[in-house]
Amino acid sequence: MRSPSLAILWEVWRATRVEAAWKLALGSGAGIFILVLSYSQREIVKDANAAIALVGIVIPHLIGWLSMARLNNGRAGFPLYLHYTHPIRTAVVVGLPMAYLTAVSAAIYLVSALLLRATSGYAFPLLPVAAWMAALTVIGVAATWSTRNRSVQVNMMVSATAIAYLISMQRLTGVEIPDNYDWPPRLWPTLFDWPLTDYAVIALIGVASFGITVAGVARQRRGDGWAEVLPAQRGGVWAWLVDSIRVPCPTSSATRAQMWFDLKSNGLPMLTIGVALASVILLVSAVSSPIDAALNANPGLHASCPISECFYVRSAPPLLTLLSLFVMLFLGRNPFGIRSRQGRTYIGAFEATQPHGAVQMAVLKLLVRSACLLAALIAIGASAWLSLPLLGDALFIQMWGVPLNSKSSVLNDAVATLTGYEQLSLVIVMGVGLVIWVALFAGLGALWARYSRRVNIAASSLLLCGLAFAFLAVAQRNGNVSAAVIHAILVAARWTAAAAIVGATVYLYWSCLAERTLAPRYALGALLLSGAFVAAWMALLGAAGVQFASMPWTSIASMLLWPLFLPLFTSALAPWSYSRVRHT
Amino acid sequence: MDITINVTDGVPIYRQIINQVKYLVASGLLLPGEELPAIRTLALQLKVTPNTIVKAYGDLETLGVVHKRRGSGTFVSEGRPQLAIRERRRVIEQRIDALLAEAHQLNFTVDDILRMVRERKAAMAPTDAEPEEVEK
Amino acid sequence: MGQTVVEVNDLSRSFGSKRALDGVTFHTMAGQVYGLVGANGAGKTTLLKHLLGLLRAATGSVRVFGLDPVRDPVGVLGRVGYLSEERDLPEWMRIDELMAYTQAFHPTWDASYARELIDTFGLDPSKKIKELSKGMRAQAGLVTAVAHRPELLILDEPSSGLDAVVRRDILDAIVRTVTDDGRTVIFSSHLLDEVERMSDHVTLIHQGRVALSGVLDDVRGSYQRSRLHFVEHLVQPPVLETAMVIEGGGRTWSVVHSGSLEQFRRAVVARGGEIVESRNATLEEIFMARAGRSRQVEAA
Repeated sequence: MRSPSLAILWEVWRATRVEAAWKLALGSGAGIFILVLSYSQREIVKDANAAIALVGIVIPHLIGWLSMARLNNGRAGFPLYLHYTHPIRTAVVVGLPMAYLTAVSAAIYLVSALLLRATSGYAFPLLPVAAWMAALTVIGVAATWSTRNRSVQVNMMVSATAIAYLISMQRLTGVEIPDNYDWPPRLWPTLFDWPLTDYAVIALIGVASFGITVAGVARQRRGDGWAEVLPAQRGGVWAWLVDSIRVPCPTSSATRAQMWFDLKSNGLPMLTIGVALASVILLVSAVSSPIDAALNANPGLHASCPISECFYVRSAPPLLTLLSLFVMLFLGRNPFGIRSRQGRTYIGAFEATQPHGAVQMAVLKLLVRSACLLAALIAIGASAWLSLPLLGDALFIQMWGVPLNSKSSVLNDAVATLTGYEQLSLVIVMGVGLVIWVALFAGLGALWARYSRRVNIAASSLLLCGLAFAFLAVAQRNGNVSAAVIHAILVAARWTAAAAIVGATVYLYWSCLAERTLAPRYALGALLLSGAFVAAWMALLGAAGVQFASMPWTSIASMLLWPLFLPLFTSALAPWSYSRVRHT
Repeated sequence: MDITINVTDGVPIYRQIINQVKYLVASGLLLPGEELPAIRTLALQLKVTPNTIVKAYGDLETLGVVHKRRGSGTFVSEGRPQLAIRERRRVIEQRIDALLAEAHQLNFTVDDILRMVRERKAAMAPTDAEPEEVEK
Repeated sequence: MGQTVVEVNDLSRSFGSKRALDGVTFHTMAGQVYGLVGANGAGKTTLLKHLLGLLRAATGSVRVFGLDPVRDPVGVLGRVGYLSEERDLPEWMRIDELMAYTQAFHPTWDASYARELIDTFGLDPSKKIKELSKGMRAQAGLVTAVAHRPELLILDEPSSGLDAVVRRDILDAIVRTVTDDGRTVIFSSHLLDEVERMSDHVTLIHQGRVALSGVLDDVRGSYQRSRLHFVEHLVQPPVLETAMVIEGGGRTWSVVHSGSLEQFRRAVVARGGEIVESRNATLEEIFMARAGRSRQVEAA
């Protein structure tokens, strides 16, 4: 390394190269996949899927750079703090990584858009959207690095995203098109041809963010303000939530103490945030109709609105609901408490040396986290449900041209026609499904923490296979490859996947029972739970009209294989991977 | 009990404790029948592992310098003047050995040393009363 | 008394290409204090982590109280008190909550002893861990480690970065643990004078292997430091078998050597010198001889 600048760039590249590869692969992979799926469908469906693909390659850039945050264990503040004691100016140590991350984000978007252009022929926007992606990245970086105060960070990000959303909505919905959404691909060249002032604004945003970040990092470097010396003030909203739960720790049993630990440090704060978000949704819905009515009555504003009734504040509740769901799923990550510091992933020594079995810990943590997540999601769902009538009849999602209210009544009727048993099945499927979701991600996360190289290789090979198959499908549509090959590959893939999950479940259970990590009665309990899940699943399928009596047993088996084995697999994966991380 | 431990000495710690206890008993700073500190107390005071104290006390008991009363602690044994004499001789003999080694290094003979001892004694204040001659 | 508490046999462990432990055998008896010394990265923490089940034995076996810490974490960790090097404690917990939480996991918790320790250390039970200084964190961690009267106390670098007051508290805890019903203490430390005072047995780990292990006095007795005086002026250090470290110059040399003193004296005399002074080596000298960068040929 001949110069400190090159050294910093190399360091940032090393820290983020895997994530950059994933963003590129997932974004473009998902986009190509969706486009290929709709290849032979109607124009409208193809256009819709193109729009979904565009959203798909934009989303990875909204979440920021997770691998940079991992350098200091997800805490807010400048992640390259090891440079504070090096002879290097703050502006350089901030500016270079910032410029690098911005450039890489824009480059990833450009490459994904070019790939999609090549495979679909649609005119995916290149430079304008790339520039805005860069702007969002630079704001995100500024928010995370300049301050340790999490609430300031979140506020900055939310406002930036909201403003970006509003601007894009205003620009994209400028032309109204009946029975289609407002921005079909044929209009993209003109819709995304934004004025040059945009670039000036983006440049300004960049400079402002740079300035703010340098000031904030300089403060952190000097140790002013939120320094390590004053740890009592650190933490922000989350720490305040944790503190405000004043329930004494039960000393009667280890299980109760561990439940208290998980609830107080994670579950209840998460639940509180969920309930708060739900209340906000309700509140905003309640006030949105009058505000919109007042805004619509304003002639000056109305002139810029092409249709009879524009949506200003009323478009917020659905967006908030979606955002709340993402926030809850984000907060519900990492139930095992796996930490990362400067590239090392581990479970802290305090938790790992408590005299409690690995399985009990894992199951307890998962159940507590799932229960709180479920409660929070129910609160948000209930508040979204209750807010629908408050939004008035005119609200509809333009892509499908169906008013939401009528959709909700369709849902109501469908649920009402279910028998009691089927409603119970619905509850079981949703509840157990959520536990499976949380446990699956926890288990995979632990697996990735412990065997990161192997998981990366396996996942990237899977992705490559998927992409290869997508290209094969395109070739098939073009007539270069016969349909029989595609069919054969699909059948082989299905059988391989089924064999994989059955084999993996058997291996995990055998390994756990041999090591006596799991007791046989745990396996029995998991089997019973899977059985209940399959039964509920069958009941719901029956309610949806599937006739099991008239189907050959092979198709029944293939339909029920995954609902049976996924719970079993997850119930073995979670404790096995937790045990592997705890006993490295 | 006034004991100091020196880890750089080369002498094992338990041995240092034994020697110093014997010296204290011999010089009368520890009276017969007096109780020695508890193992835990002495270990905390000297900042050494208690098993060293246990070993030292055990060896002292074998030598007859102290005896353990069950449950109450460790006490100095009743008067053993022979032991005191032997102990005092041993301390002086150690110093004589060191002196002789140094003298050999610096090229003095034994007669030179004896002469110098008398000279130094005469130069010191003559008010110190001579103790009685000790039987060899 | 006298039964085996920890039995590690032929333990090996690698992290990637680096061999952290290589055929380590380590046995401890009840009621003794075991000191682990070694250079940074020699493998002390790795060995201790195996005892707690934080690491799985790749080859060889690890048994604590006759149980495998990975298969039976409750049986082992319930009787072990542990103070980690990083003093890993949940930042958001208050001290009284930490005590209650640890109490729930250990049925042998002595609440009055815990309270007495907290009073002695001067800790405020309502303070959160993140508000504590480094020394107070170590004290809080120490209370959770000893208050349940563990049969085995494992301390990983207990004195690192701490002032003399807290260091004394830790030494007190070690003494108390051993004198109460003969419990065992294993601690690793860089402060060799502390290890020299506080250990009954000492084990030196060098590059993943056990370089020496035994009762402290025996170990010290088997190494001597001698001052040599030679007739002729030597430019190069004299080659003497069983010598491990030779320092000095000209006619006076200082040697740390192992083996019998008589044999060494004969070798010195054969070389044309004499031993002026000889004493048992200190632990630091032994450490530098075995684990330092070797200046002479290693002893056979």
